[in-house]
Formats: sequence, structure tokens, C-alpha cells
Amino acid sequence: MNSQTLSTQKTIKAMLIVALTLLLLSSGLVLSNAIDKKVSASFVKNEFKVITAKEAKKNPNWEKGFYKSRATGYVTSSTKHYANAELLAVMQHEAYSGRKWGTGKVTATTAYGKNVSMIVPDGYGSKIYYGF
Amino acid sequence: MEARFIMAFKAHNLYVPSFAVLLIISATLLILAFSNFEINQVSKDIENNINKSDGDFIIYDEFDSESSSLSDFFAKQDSLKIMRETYHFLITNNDFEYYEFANQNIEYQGSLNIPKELVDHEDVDLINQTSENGSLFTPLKSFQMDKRTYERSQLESKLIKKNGQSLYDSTSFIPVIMGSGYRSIFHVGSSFSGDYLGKIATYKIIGCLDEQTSISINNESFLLDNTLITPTINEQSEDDEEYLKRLYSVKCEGFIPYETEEEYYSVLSSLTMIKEQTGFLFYIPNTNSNQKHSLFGTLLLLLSFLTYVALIVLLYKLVYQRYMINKWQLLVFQALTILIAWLLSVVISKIIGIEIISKSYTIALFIIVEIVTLLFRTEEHYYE
Repeated sequence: MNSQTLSTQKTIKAMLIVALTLLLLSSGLVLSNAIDKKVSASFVKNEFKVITAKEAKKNPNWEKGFYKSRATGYVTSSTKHYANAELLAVMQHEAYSGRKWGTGKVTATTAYGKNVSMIVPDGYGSKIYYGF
Repeated sequence: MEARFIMAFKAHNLYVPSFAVLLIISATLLILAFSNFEINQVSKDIENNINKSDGDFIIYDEFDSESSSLSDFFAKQDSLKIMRETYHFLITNNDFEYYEFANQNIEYQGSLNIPKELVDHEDVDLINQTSENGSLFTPLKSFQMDKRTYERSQLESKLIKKNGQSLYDSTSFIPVIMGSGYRSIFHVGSSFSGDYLGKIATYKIIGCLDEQTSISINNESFLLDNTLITPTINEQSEDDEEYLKRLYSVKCEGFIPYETEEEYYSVLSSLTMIKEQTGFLFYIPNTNSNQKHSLFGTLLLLLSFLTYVALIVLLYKLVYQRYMINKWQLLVFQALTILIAWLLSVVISKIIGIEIISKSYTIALFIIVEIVTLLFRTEEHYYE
């Protein structure tokens, strides 16, 4: 192997180290959002449905064959608390479930977003908020 | 000075590392620009797609976010005062008619054998939960509506069984109208103990709705078969502050009907005014500045894309051909560049307070890199 190839390999190794460092850094950012002690469980996900021709006809913002989505989740706590799910479309606020107050397991689900539809589902996102 | 710098650059084989850094910075910019562009496009779409000519403006607040929550607002000394004031503005405003409407569950106290359709999201875990003191409770799907909403929905005419009592007259108990799904659980005249927002009261069934009865809010239909309907609850002298905060936060959620675009914007303007006067964070859709942001996003996207393509070409011409790296090194190099750029974008976006949107853009970027590299690649350049 000549010196140039060695140099390239060194660069690739350096890049690998940078990638792993950044990976650790970003996982640290995720962990910093750890859940409150009063909350024993918290979860949120998106649910998807493919838009039918009939639905697309009713709602001009929806396209047939595209995805519609809603956000659904829950927060569990033994004290009185609320859960509020948010549906995001490309990070933009689409809908809130509205705050649901309760004790124990409190579920919150938004309506299917009416203002946009997506050709790929991963453009949608969801968040769950809680408080006491 | 310049010549010495170039000499040092050549002597230390800085071509690959320097291009790697430039490529990563450029790819990071491109991913951020993609996000910015797409965010503005969707933001504009959402705003444009709202039906402004006929509907109900659903009122809710923006206290919940990544960095704060309604609890932070509740912790403020004057939060209850602000909410009382806001509610007062909503119900006494001359510019619009406020309809108070909420869908908070009533927690039935005791053991209950019910089908899953009567609880949120048909989640069986919600039925007969155990409280801290060991007693059982079940949150039942419920709507709370003021007289104005009740009359608009014409629910009185959909009652198939009733005992003659009104939903809005009782003081000793909270009257309840049940959906048809409750017919095997309760009967007209049944009473039960229920917890609403932390206050336990007696609820009494005064009527039952016909099957398939629904109400329409903002052109969306809500089937009432599996729901209980109660009047909206008002403040009582014995209520504690924590409960009142919850109560008023719910009372400030409702809707305002509008029939023209002019009325829609008038509602927005009135809510903005109340927001400014009280400090209550109503959600007001953004109706301006999207155009400007979108143009900026497009320019940034174009600039980043051109820089990125230019760097790929330069990288190939000046580094790959000169150093004759093999195709596996090339593949690893490219994959690492994209991975680092993606991770860097995630870190930067977290720091500046936005998030990177989707994996699709990284995959698209990787494909672009592959295509561009392929365009400039010939077999004789590989060293194997």
C-alpha cells in the first residue's frame, strides 16, 4: 500500500471516530428528555391509513393513495395529570388531541390530520405532553 | 506565505481530510436547507388548507411545548386570575359567540363491567384501574357542553328516553344524558359517583339518546353512542385552587363558529387581542411571513445543493483520481460523509431548536451522491 492509500484509510478511520462521537452526542440529547419521576410510563406513536378515493373526494386536502395520520399516546401517573398528543406534519403542528385529565393511564389521540396528506408516512411525527 | 501554506498542505496529505470536512459541512447545510424548505412548504400548505369560509374555530392554547407545559403556567401566582379573566372575555365578547365544549372523561368510582368501546381508544387497560387508595375507577368517554352547544346540536329531539329533567337546571347532582351504548349499563334514573378533574360528585342519568346520534363541530361528525353528555361545570365557592385551575383551563377550550373568511379573520384578531390583554397563550395560526421564509428556504436549498455537487466533483477530480482509492474505500468514504452530515444536522438542529424531518432526505442525498459520483467515475481510475 502506498502512502496516499494509508492517508485515505487514516481519514476514513478519523471519520468513523467522528461519526461515533456524534452518535453518542445525539443519544445524550435524547436521554436528556427523560420522563418525570411522577410519571411511570409515557408513550406516543403515529397511526396511518391510506386515503381512499371516497375520502379524497370529501376532503380536497387529501390525495387518494397518500397517507393520513393521527397521533396517539398515553401517560401513566398515580396523581391527577393530563396527556396532550400532538400530530406533526414535517415538524409543523397539524393537530392537538386536546388535554385529557385523569388518574392512572390517560390516553390522548388526535383526529386524523385534515390539512395535509403525505406520499410517505415518515413525514409525520408525534409528541406527547403531560403535566399535573 | 501562500506558497508555504500550499507546500505544507501537499506535504501533509491534507487533500482528503480537508475535502472530507468541506463535504460534511456542505452536506449538513443541505440537510438543514431541505428541512427548512420542506417545513415552510408544509406550514404554508396547512395554513392555506384551513377552510376559512365556513366552520368552527377550535380554541386551544399553546402552553405545552418541548420546553414548557401547562404546569409551568399553573405554578405562576396569577394563573387562575388570568384564566378567569380570559374566560370572562370569551363569554362576554361582542365580536363572536363562544361555545363552551370539552371532552374530559368522567372517572366512574367503583367496579364496572363495560365493553371497551366506552373508553378512550378502546383500551381495556383503562377499565377498572386501581387508585392509590386501592379503590377501582374507570374513565368514561364524555362530552361537556354549554346550553348554546346543546341547542345547536338539537340533542333534545334525539332523546328516546327521558325523565323530564333538564340538563341545565339541577344543583344537587350533575345531570347526564347517555349514548345508546350505555343502555345495558345504566337506565334513566341511575346515579353514580364520578370524578371530574379531581372533584367527586354525584351524576344522575336523565335521558338516553337514540342510536347513531351525532354532533358536528367544524364540519366533523362525532358519534355519541358510546359517550356521556353533561353540562359544563361552573365554579363553586367550596372549590380548591388546584381544581379551579384545571377547570378554567378546560373552560377556555371551546369553539367559535364563523361563516365567512372575514369572520374567520375577525375571530383571529379578537383572540389575538385577548391573548395580548390577558397573557393566555391561545393558539393563533400564522397568517404571514411564510412567503418570505419560503423564498429564503429555496435560495438556501439551491445554494447548498450547488455547493454540494461542486464539492463532489472536486473531490473526485482532485482527490480520488490523484490518490486512486479503491471502490470500497470510496463507498465507505461516501457513506461516512452522509452519516456524519446527518448526525451533525441532528445535533445542530437540536441546539438551534428545530428538528430534522425525515430519513427520506438523507437517503435521497445518498442517492444523489452516488449518481453524481457515477457520472464522473470510470473504471481505469480504480486501484485494486
